[in-house]
Amino acid sequence: MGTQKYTFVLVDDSDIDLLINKRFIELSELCKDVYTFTESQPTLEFIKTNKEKLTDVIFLIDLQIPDMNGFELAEKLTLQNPAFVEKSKIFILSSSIDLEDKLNAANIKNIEAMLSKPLNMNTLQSKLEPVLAK
Amino acid sequence: MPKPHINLLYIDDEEANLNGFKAEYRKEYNIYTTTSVAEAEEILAKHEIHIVLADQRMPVMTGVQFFEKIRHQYSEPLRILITGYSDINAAIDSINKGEVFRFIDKPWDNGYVRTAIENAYDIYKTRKELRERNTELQKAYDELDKFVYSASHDLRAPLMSILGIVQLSELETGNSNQYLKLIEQSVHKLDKFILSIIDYYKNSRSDFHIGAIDFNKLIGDITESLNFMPGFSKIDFNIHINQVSNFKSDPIKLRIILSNIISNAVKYHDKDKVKSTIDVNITCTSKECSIVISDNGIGLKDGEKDNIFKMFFRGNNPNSGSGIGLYIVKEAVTKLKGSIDVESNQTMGTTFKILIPALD
Repeated sequence: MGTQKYTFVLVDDSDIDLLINKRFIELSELCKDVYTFTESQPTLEFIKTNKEKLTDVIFLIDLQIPDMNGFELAEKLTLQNPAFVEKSKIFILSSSIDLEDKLNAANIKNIEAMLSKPLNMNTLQSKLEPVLAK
Repeated sequence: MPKPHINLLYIDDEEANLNGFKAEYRKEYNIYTTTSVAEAEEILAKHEIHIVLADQRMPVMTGVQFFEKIRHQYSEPLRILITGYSDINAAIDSINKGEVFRFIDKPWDNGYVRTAIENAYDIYKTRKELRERNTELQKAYDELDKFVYSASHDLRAPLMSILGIVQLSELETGNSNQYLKLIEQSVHKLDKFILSIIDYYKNSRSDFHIGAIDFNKLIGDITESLNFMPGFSKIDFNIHINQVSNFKSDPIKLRIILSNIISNAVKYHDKDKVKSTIDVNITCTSKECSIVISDNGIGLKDGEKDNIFKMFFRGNNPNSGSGIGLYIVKEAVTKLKGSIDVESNQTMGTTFKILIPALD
């Protein structure tokens, strides 16, 4: 491990959290590129335009973004780009409690895991890397 | 005192009875009369009828049969059966089955009829008020749920941002700044308090969410969620789970119990001891579960033992919390119909013994 690098797409309505998450990812060994978005629509457009160029993409999506929730965005991404999402990994990142319950309630297959904020090296190592190693 | 506006529907195949009834009571009540079942149903659909009176002897169907027909769609009006003496067994039977509220025998006594109508209306009114209160209460609960969840999220989100910034600046500057460590500790303390309040709220709601408990996963999740705590990495956990069969309980309440006790064991570990240990022993059948959590931490001082489950009791300790954790634990154990005991002294540490029966 450690050689494989990923392109991260972060979606969060909090600029502060985007900054924190971006910096942590940049400092980790996993990072090739980081793209940040505060809304879902520009995210969808970005993926639509660039999906041919992007490989090894990891999405980290906040649960509460202004125009739709994280699950809905994940679902839209999958609907619009099924083959691309198949090769990518989607994580939900949130400060909400009962993350597991919410994931079970939403029952969405293409979401790898729910991560608790704040994102830090510990989370990246203990939660993200095992999924990526599969 | 002005009379309440009572709406009556009276169905009888004999016009003379209807007219007699109307003549007697039209000044006191608002009366609808009909000889036909179909028309009676139309009236029920159109108007808010409080009380339905029906004659037992009608050619198309009996009064009791009429009530059976309408009672599911129009459950709110009280039903009064009017019968002759010969039908008295049918009347008693229908009262016992809950089909009718009263019966009035013919020829009727005016005072008796008035009392029956007014009693019926009182019940109608009380039931209606009760339904309205229940609806309001349910609405208030739903709103409180939404409020608690959105408030907890909105309180925690900036807190988690602060934590992220602190951790990031520790990482970027590479030195462990003592001030940043203190900020981090304070943030965790505040976060724990917010989570405790949510736990308290969830626990105070009487509804249960019963599911199969996987103790291995539960304990794993809890210890993982505590790994930020100071000194956590130096503590030896000895976890023995003997779960031979399916055990059903409320996972939320069990998590509240275990997480509070284990986090206390971590928090009050004894820094002066060479080795800090936390032993978790869980033995579980399909009927009952025994949980023993022991630590070799600083222990309770004399006299504290009796108070630890009281709300806002805080041990005489510089590091003590808000005094809500063990209170919630006790509440949750009580709700699960279990028991909790504590043994503690300042040389050996603290042991909690919990027994929880399975729920179905």
